[in-house]
Amino acid sequence: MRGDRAPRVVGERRWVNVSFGALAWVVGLIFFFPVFWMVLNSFKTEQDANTSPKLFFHPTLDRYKDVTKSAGGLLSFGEAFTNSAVIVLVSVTIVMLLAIPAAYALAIRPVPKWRDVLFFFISTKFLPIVAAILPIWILGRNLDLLNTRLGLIILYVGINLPLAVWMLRSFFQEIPRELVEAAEIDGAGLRGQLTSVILPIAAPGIAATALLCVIFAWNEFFYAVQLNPVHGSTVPIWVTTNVSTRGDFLAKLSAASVLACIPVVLAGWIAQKRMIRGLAMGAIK
Amino acid sequence: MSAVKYEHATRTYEGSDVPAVDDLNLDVGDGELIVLVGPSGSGKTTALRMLAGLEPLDAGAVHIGEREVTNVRPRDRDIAMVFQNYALYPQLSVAENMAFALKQHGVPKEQRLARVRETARILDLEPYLERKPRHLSGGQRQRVAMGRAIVREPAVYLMDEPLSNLDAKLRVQTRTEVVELQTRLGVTMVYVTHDQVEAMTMGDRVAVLKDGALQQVGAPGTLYHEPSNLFVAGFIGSPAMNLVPLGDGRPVRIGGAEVVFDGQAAASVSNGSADITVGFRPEAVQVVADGPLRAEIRTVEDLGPEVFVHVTVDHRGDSVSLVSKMAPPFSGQLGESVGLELVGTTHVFGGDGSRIASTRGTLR
Repeated sequence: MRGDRAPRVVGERRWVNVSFGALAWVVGLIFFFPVFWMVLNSFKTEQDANTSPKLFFHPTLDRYKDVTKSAGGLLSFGEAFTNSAVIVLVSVTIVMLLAIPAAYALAIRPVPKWRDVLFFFISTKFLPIVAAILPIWILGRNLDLLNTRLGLIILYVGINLPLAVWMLRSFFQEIPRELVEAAEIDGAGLRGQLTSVILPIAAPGIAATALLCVIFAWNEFFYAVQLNPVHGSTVPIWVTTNVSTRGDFLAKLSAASVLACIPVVLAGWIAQKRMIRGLAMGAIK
Repeated sequence: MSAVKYEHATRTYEGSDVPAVDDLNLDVGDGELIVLVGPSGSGKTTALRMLAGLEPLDAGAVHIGEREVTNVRPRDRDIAMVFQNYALYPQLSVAENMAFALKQHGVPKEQRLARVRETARILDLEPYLERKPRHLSGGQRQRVAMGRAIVREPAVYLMDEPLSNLDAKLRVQTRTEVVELQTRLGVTMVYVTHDQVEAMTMGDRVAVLKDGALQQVGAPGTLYHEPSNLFVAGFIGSPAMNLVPLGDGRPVRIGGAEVVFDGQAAASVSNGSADITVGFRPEAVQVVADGPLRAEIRTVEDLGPEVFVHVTVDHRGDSVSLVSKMAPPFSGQLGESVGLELVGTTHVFGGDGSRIASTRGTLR
């Protein structure tokens, strides 16, 4: 893409730039390598995967068949994906529906004591998850929410909401105040201001926030495994069911992990397109 | 009917003890273009925002037409506003930007289109109707912002420094266009600027503000020739009026020269014992070869039709800068010692800054 071309730098700075560029690539590759190895392993036989590492082998889709075929009584691939999809979509939708008005109230027309409100939001993140698990489990049991999708939806809304409010608030603050005022004078009510000015302009930020919430909710393991071990189990739990005490499982586990990654990667790809389009829309001046 | 009236309008920002706008009383006639002018922090924009409903009043009231709008929401005030940075909706095309307010007010689509097209024709925006604001030049964006206001046919137009982002040439041109448009549409317009030249050239009347307080309202000529106090005298006019503090000594002297006033002013000044300051416009002081007041030429600005000569005079041990507007050709050299002569109106300001008298003064 034209816009991606690096600016031309001359003189000494050039070598600094080149070495930083090279360093960035090296770090990037180091980070990507385990993922690459996982994808590679998922196309191997268990035998290939568990011997000394090799780059060339006969690729096979058998591991994918293994992990997706339903085994009687055990958590199936389809069930876990459906649970995860429902829980993630519903929880992220609720989070966004709550966080957008909250961010508006904190950024565009700050309520009194907005700093305290903001701090209160983030303070809910201070407590280690594990410290809260017992009361949450008891609450879940008393409210009949254990092993239900609803239980996790409520929890994931709670986990993601502070983050979403904080992120959206900073994105909303970037919106020139005059735009909101112009809309107000032009006759737009709160809804009109949101739909015709704030949301379109903050779209990249909203996409980024939603993506982050999707990732957190999709990958969440601890609560899921504690509260929904029997029913309503999510994809991360399904991935761990491929760990067995008998025989080799590295290739199978890799295949399951790749499948678990795909939705998040897709979501990231879609959100990224939205973000770039939003950024290209440009500021007002 | 769309006159505007501020009644004891006061606004103090949170965390501040000093009001941004203090007890503002101002009447704007129907169809009048009034300019609020003042340095930054003078409260001019706050005053405009109070009229727009974007800033609440802590005391007093605002009227538009017959209606008190102090507690009316901005969208129900029947106003349109042009912002300094234009505040165009970036995701909407020019046509959509202009139609936005009409749409919000439930104007049917055909009517919307017709009005947008008509406005675009007036402002020469027809070729750009489908473009997004980011694909327009600064001047075109400015016109879209104007168009967005015009298309609504509101009771009052509010302009918040709408020309300050344009380059100098375009600014002068657009200035004229805005005035023409306002005259043609016969609408009430409240226009805020920090640029006194813009204020003087555009306003039917100009209101000068300082530190939230209204200093003087009047026609541009009145402000220029009869400034009510030292601040207005110094703020209006470019280059600024020469102001020389003379203290309470009598007879009054600038440097070694005595200032003699004509008529009634003479008595009131020479009998008084208060601190006074005299002021005279650059055109009211002329550089001559010989004169009772000696000065040294510091810079000469030859603008073609006029020459501004900056001189310094020795006044009570201090070097005081004065500027004289001369007709070309001017032959004085830098560093040359010359004389000064008063030829026009001299204003006398009292110790509290208010104008005591304006009269012909001479140096002796």
